[in-house]
Amino acid sequence: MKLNPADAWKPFEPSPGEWNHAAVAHFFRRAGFGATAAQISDGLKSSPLQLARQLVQNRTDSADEIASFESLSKASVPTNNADTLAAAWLYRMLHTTDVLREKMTLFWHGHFATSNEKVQNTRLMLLQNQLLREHALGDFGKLVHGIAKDPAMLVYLDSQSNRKAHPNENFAREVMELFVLDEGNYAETDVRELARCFTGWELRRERFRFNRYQHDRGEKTVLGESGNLSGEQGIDVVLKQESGPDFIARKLVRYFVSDEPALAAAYIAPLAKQLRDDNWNVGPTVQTILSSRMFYSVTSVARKIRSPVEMAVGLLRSLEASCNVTGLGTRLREIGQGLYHPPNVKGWDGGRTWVNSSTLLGRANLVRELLSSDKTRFDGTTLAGLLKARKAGPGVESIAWFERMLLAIPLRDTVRDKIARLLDSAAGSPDQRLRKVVHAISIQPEFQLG
Amino acid sequence: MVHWLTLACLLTPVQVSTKPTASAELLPPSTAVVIELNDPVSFLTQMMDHPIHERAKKDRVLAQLYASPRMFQARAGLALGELAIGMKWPDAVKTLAGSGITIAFDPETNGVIAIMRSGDADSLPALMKTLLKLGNDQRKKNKGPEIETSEYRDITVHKIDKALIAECPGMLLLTNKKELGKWVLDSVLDGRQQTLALDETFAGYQATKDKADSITAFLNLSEVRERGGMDDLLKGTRSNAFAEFLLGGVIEALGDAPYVSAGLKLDETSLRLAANTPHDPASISEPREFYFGPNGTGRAPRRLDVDSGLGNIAVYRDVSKMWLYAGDLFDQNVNDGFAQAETALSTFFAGKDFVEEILAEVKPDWQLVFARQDFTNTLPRPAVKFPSFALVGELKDSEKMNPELKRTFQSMIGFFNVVGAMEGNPQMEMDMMNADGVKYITAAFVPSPEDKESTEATVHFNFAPSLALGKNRFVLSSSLSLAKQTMAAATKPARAAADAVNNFEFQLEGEMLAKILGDNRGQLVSNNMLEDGNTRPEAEQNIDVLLGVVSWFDNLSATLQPAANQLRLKVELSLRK
Repeated sequence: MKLNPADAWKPFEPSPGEWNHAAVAHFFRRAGFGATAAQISDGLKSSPLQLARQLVQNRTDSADEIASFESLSKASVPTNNADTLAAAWLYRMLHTTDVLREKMTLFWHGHFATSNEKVQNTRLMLLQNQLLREHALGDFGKLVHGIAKDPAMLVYLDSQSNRKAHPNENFAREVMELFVLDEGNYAETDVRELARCFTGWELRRERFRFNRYQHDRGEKTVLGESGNLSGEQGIDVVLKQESGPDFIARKLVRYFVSDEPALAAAYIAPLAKQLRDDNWNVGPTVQTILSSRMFYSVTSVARKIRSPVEMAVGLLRSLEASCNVTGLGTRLREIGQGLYHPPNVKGWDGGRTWVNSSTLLGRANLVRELLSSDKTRFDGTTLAGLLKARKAGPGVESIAWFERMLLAIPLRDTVRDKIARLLDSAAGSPDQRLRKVVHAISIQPEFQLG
Repeated sequence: MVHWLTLACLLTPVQVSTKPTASAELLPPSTAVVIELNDPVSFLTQMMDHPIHERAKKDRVLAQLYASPRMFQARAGLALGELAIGMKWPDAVKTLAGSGITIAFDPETNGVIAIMRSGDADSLPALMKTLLKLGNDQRKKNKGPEIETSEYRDITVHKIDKALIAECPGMLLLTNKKELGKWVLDSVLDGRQQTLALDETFAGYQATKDKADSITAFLNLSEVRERGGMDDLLKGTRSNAFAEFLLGGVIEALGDAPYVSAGLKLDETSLRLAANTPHDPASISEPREFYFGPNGTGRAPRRLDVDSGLGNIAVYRDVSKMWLYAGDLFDQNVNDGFAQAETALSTFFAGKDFVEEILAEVKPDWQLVFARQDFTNTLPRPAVKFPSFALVGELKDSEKMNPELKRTFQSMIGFFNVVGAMEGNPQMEMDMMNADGVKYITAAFVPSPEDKESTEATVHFNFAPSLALGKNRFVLSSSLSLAKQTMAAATKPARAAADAVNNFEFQLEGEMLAKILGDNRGQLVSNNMLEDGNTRPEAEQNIDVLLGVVSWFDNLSATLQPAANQLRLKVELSLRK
């Protein structure tokens, strides 16, 4: 049934039977990185709106857990080790209860793309990551202001110095084109004028500094607003534009609902209005999306290709697994989504670009490596042990359990039969056979859908 | 004939149990490797009842490990295993191999064989029957094929995948090659004229073997060389200068030696491994004189003791000679590398010939000293704390060389400052001082105002490069404190000369290693979480276990001693009392 724009974002009120394991699993796949059997059972006790509200409004990690995650990230700084920094974030994604915040931090990492390939400084990358996480579900305006003075971003966009004699247009262009407004919503003169607002903004000893002697104190006109605008005032002018909320709402819909086909402007308008009405407070709009009829409709379910991070972390979270995350971080980079290493200022394109013949093979190899590593444990035990503890087996019942936990849509019957034969006939211990089954599932097209 | 042999075999139990044939008498003369464990029961009992276990149980963290579910599972598994076979594990080991295990490799067949002599021949058939039944049950569970059983000259032979097990009276033979198994089995049944026991090289090894060793090993180098098994090893150092520096002389010695023997001793406080090979110092080629010195007289310097010392590496190596003989020792790539290095280093040394005018002025006895650094009252304090290290050398003419070294050290610091500035690293500030007739030139990283009080500073703050120039001796150190201590230790009068002449000596102090690891506990815990996927409590427990275990060790040492007729490598690990 096709939803009309007026109803699309209304809260989903499931009829009996509609609020089931698959629906809750869909919620956690999109709002987080997948869920355990216990989390899905708990989720069934809440309504779709309650579930979304809980993730948007509550910070569920304890102070100790947050301190532990922060300490892991900081371990990368003294040795400037980018692999450790990426691993620490993956560890957080795997173990946090505040999954939506991490999912949104990843969203903003792609939006405000900054690569350590160029920055070469884990301390600065970590500071940016902390900034993204702090405002992940909060005030987008504050986030843009923070990013504008973020040392890693300034290094990445070659904006360490911006003198009045030679205003640096690079950052001004990215603020309008990539961060807030999108292409076509500004003119070249606006870029030049906004760049003048940022003059005097510098980086010294890895810290932001305003050099008042290099600031252009003349009158500027940005997007129709004139005055002796400072950098902060310039950003405020950009944030006031009508097209900003449309741009961000569309990106959020693409991230949480579906990559394609792009929803018509009429569907985006209510969300953009909400962002505007909430003064750029992102959390409520995310809550609206995650609890909406659209989110649980056929337009959304199984209509996204999982990014490498979603695929790997989702697999591990669903199977309550822990693993060598340093190695995982390296492999994710090889298949197109290295944390702290987005490909360019536009971030990851996502959607169909995640998969091609090479990355599909890489994904299959990654899953095989995860499953064959003796460092991968499932709730501290073997895969057979996990299934036994979850009362999910033996035989074909275990395949059904994997389907429920790992897939957005069921396997084709022929594939399921083939995997059942594999489970029955493959050599090795029961645990090894189950690992082969998971690997067999992971190479199916269904597994690539989130 | 066959009937006679069958009968002989059936009668063998009495003979074997009363007068066992030495394993070497069963092995082909082409055998290249023999490892013998003469008394497996007492060796394993010694391991299981070692006082280290009692000590571990008294340790707060390790006691938890002993009480952990995994340990419980292991104990339960052992108990279940004992229940299934109907005897305690020491009895099972005694029945299977109580009178010794010999493992051998025969390059002729590319086969490995284990000869296990039962200590209770009467119980062996029943135990084997039980073990085979358990094996079959497990294979059935894993959907594997059943163990195949057949007969060879009335000896029962089991085939498990690629392995063969022959049940001889009072003896088990395990092998991966049918041909080798058959050869040994025929030796058991018929006896042979030509066996390893009659081999001259093996006899030489037998004569020098220390009977008190728990495990002994023999490697027939002539056999290995003949089959080209040492070609890679002998050529290996041609492409690797560091390997040549470390092992070049030993590899040349092995190139001529008939065999290598090794023995392992375990007692309550130490584990000792000694490896010997016949060696004639006069036979070492001229290019390798850099390694052993003229006529093998090169001697590593005496070990220098410093406060919080972690360890030492003392070695005799005439590096300038090695460099000059590089054309004979290395391939073209390495020689190109030497040429490039010489050009660069000559630049640093103000255009002087680095090999002839600088290296040749340094005596061939070198020493590296490592020590723990105490950052308790130091700021900024690095988050990752490295031990400091110092290179100690002697100069032939310090009056001539000291100014050269001082000038070059200053140039190097300036160079690092320029490179560091380009990469945004902190800069170093230099200082000089004189104390006790020694000139110290030192450089220290200058923290930014924000980092002055930092307790999580970058790794740079582990280093304060220092050069100490004394009378005929220099120390190049990563910290001023260690430079001073090392220089003081080096100028102290030597204690009575040790009897042994070591070409190489290595020492590592367990207590200090544990302290250094403890200094970096937080970092190690983080690494464990990320590398092994553990939770923080799991990672903390793992690291605490590691720290606990390391702290038991008193000392790890290794020495290489060239003597008149042999080359001896000794490695000893001693426990704290």
